[in-house]
Amino acid sequence: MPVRKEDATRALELLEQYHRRLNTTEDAQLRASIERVIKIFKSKLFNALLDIQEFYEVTLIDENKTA
Amino acid sequence: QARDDATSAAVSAILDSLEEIQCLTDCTERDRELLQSVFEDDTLHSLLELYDHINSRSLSSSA
Repeated sequence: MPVRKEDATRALELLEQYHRRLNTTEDAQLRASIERVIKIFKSKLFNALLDIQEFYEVTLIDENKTA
Repeated sequence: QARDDATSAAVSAILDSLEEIQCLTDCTERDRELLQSVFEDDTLHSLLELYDHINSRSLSSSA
């Protein structure tokens, strides 16, 4: 299944909300994990990969468009 | 690779916390399902692997 950009955006929103509500002193490991994923989801590289994947799914796999 | 492991561990940690995420955010049942489907998706895992791969490459080549 392709990952849709809007789903990734919503997932990022929810993770940021959750991260804000986590206690700073507790859950250090969990906070670090969430920060890692947030950072990736916000990166230009990851968003470029999402775009490429989306383009690949809609265009390159469709033989009518590549022929 | 250590970087890949850290990212997949981070994704597992998120999947393990879905219930808590739902409690602490204004997240609906549908949002929870969305999070689950996004983070369990094979394509997402491939993209994350690719991200780590490219990211570690550019770091090592600039060092």
